[in-house]
Amino acid sequence: MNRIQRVALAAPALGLASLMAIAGPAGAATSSTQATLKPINDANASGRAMVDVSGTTLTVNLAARGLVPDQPHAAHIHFAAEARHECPTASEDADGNGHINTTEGGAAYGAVVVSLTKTGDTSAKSVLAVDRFDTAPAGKISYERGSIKVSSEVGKAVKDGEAVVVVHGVDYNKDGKYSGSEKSDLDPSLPTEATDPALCGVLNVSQMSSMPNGGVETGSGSTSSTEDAGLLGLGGIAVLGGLGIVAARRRHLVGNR
Amino acid sequence: MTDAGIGGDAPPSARRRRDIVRSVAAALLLLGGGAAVAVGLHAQQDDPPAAKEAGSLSSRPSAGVPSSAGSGTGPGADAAEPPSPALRPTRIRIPSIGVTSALTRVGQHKDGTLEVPQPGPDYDKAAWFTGSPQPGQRGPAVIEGHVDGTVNGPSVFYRLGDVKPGTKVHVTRTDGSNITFLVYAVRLFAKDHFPTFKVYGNTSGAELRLITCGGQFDSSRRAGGYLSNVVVFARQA
Repeated sequence: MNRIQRVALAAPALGLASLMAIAGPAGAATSSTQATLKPINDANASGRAMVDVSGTTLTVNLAARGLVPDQPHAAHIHFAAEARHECPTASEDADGNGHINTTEGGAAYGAVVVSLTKTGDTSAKSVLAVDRFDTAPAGKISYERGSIKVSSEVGKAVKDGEAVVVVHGVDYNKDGKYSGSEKSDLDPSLPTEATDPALCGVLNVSQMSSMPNGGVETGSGSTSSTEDAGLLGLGGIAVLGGLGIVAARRRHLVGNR
Repeated sequence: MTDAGIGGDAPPSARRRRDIVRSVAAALLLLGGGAAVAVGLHAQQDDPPAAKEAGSLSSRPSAGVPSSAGSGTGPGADAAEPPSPALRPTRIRIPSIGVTSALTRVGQHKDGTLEVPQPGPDYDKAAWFTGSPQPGQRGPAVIEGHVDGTVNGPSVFYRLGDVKPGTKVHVTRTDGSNITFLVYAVRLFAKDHFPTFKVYGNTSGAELRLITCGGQFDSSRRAGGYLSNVVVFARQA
């Protein structure tokens, strides 16, 4: 790209950039929280969640991998004022069956306050709305949902780093689906595999006062690829022309000899 | 060859004149063209160095502390200082790539993306994102800089892609004190798939993120032509 082209392109871009600069920073009322999701019940999964809080409205981003593929994974935000605001440990296996079920984790993370459904209601009423949760194709979840309404108590809890994200659904007998004779503590019509927690993480307050969105635009491209192509091109043609004349002269002289 | 044929018939004086004209034309083209190419090549600036990805981004850094430490207390807390308005960053030095820059400050656009230094006296300065922790505080302090200039030539972070794990980065603060960070990873991330959590997520100790543009350039792209960002990860030494 030559200089003139580059300047012509840069001018509108800079104009746009200065307009955006005038627009100023994002509203200060939004707080960001984030959780690293760690496996429980020997799930071979991992993930992370980010929740932005603006008053009583949440925006949730959740990514996970290694879950039981193509099975509905109920996912919730848990909170209770009296809970420890933590993920459960193995010592909380009250019935001694080797697994932490959803109820046994309650002392650590509290009750369901938000159901992370893909559509429709997001309240605790949808706690087991199996047909509206992500089914983790290939074991992966990539979930994003905004405008989730919560009570002011829950909004404050999330903002204060006291809420916990839990993703449910495990496969103890490794048959690729929710099965087994042990019934769910939440719904006896389901196997416990369908509702036992697989991933858990506390939503910690972000160390950023406001979380940046994506990368940065820190380049004009003025050093990328060939500069001064016009100068180089014309100069090169001139040199070739000159060489051509010299060659013709040489041939001419040789011919006259 | 027709020239030779005609030349053979022309009187010797006319032939000599024509030879002189041709010689002069050839000399002018060679000199002028050569000079143009020389000037063009002289002004030529190499592409920014392509970041050679190196180092580990494992969530368990060598300090043995998970990066997901809590919001206040936790194993990394001692390494970091409580925030103090007196300790804002003023200067960055990366001796291995010849960077010395006063730090300007940037915030965010309405869409949440980071602002960048605007054309003017601060354009070629590195910039600290004021929404990130102060360097030396716990968390990922973010310092960005342009890779190249508004019209032509390199900018402050032109050679950021040359940085390697183990490189020292020094940040000076308003009280004159210095903090040294050690680079532990260098990455090239597509802006389309920028790993926000990896780059801006909570850390257990005081860390630093240096960011500029890199990768392929696409002049048709709406905002800034580079398709990727070079991100350098460092933690307090």
